[in-house]
Amino acid sequence: MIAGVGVAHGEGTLRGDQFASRWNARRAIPPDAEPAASAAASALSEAGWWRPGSGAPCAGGLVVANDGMSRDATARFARELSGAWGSAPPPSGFLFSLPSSTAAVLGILFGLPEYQSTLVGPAAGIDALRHALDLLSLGRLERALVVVGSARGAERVAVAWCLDPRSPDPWQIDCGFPESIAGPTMSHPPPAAEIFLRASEAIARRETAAIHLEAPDGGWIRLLRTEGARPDAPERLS
Amino acid sequence: MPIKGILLGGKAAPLCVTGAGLVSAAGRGLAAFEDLLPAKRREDAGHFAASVRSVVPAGGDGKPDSGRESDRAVTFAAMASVEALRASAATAGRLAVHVGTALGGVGAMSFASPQTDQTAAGSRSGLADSAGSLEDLAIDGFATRLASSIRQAAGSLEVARPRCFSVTCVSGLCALEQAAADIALDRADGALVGGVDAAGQFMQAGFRALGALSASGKCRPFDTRHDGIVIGEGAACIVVEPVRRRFARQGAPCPQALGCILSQRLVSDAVHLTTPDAAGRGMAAAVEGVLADAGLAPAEIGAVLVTAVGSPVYDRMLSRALELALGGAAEEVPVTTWEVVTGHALAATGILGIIHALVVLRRGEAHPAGVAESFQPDPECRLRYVIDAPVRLRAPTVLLLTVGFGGQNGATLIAAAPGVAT
Repeated sequence: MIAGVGVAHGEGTLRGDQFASRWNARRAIPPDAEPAASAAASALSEAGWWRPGSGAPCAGGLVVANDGMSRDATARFARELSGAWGSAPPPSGFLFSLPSSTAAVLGILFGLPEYQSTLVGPAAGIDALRHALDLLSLGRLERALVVVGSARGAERVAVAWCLDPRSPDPWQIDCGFPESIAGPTMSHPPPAAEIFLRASEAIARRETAAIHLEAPDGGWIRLLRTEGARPDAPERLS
Repeated sequence: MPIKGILLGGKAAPLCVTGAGLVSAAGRGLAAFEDLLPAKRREDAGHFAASVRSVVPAGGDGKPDSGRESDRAVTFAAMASVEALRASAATAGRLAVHVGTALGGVGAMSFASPQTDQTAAGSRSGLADSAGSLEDLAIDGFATRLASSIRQAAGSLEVARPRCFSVTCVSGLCALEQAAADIALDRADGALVGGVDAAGQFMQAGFRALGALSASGKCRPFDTRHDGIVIGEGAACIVVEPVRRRFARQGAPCPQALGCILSQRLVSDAVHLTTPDAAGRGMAAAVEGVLADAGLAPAEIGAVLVTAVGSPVYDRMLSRALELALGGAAEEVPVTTWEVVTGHALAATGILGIIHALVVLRRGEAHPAGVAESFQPDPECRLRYVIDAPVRLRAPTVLLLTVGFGGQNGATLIAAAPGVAT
């Protein structure tokens, strides 16, 4: 199922000229869309869905989890409005205060002209993965890029997974949340990307046939490497 | 009419709409919205303050009359949810909740300045307060803030944790996708699906910075004088269930379905951050997809409802897209809109469009779009717009076209209720 994995921290290294015919080579990749774009580039390259500089469209749906990635831009635009009312603030603050703008940038850079969606909040990582898995299982999507990005203060991290049910990769995925409405109402829930970071590290190590990760807010991801394997005792994120 | 179609272009079956609720610049409730739908040309068309301030005082929260300052977007969503859930009369079962919003409560934020009005919203503005408000109103916590209002409104239903989608003006339609999946995969017996946004200085200034606002302040779709968006606000919610209902109704008869959502396709242009593919190829692909999924020919569309934001770029793109997708049938099918009444209600748009489709289907006619008496048709908008008198639907099926920033195109097919097997 997992055809490619990408992880990125902080500032990315992508350049506009790596996206021939899709992005103005003289324009930088918007900082607000980093590191999601870097993580996506790594995952798509590993999956063989995208080649730097090709400019060719990339088939597949895109589901993004935005956990705080818009806050900097929102605060920036609010400051600009407060400080300079009457003059025109630049539009980038407003544009990237919209959580979906990260997905829009990814769609342009990698040429993803199909279904595109963004979920928001600290639970958005599991929700986004669930959304993608459901649409794949129902035949709505043939394959999907899931990008989970979290920003807490200066710390920014993104994880990208390319999901393809036809991939020879042996990992099968399931995920969920307690369905109770009293679910994740923690005052300081964990960053959405954290559990994906742990899962990506476990996949890279390939040490075990089954991985079961649980986050303090109740979100969980289970990866089974071979049919019928029993998951190890759940690893709990502190 | 037999119900056919594949809601998500996959295996999910069509869904009935058994409840609807909305709050918009047209007023509070479905009846207020319907009362204001245009019947003819009007010279003041599209010239209004597209705010629900007269319906919900600025600063109102989930309890409409309390006056306590809170998240205005939660207020709207709670109001629309209550109306939709009451109409559905559902009393027992598993309810999924999926809501879309572009900015949540942040869009309603206001800031201190000499120009700021001294309403409750204005008096709490300024950077210091705004910084605190940002934390309170951040979209990341929107679903959590909405949860308690939904739980109250849902009575004895078993309510799932709300999920929040943010995909500009197609947010509610993405929420509908997850609702259909939950029902198809038997995780829910039905779903509350909504879209909501609140518009204050933050939202207005943002669209102004993007150069998207109407300079004239008038929403004039398909007119040579269309010059941009008039921002609206509000919420629209529907309750969707399978054709064979699963919710229990204790002490009340199962309500007649308001209509049926046959199929939906969402397609991204992936060409620009704010403007669509001018040739309309993404929207045309979405339209071709929904017709194929529903097994319908272009001639079987009774009317087309469009997100007519009053922007030349979007008006012309929609015209080209329909010509591409429908061929000669594009000249025949009547096209109208609700946006002259509500302004562009951002993330409420998609579900508001579905509710509008239900009204059009019940009436059996497409109403005039509400253009000005001095309407001057844009020669690049070549569709059969309903201008002077209502047009009878030739088939009980409506095609809804929803557009969103980032090149988002939504096509949704909605059919009339009669013939729905319950």
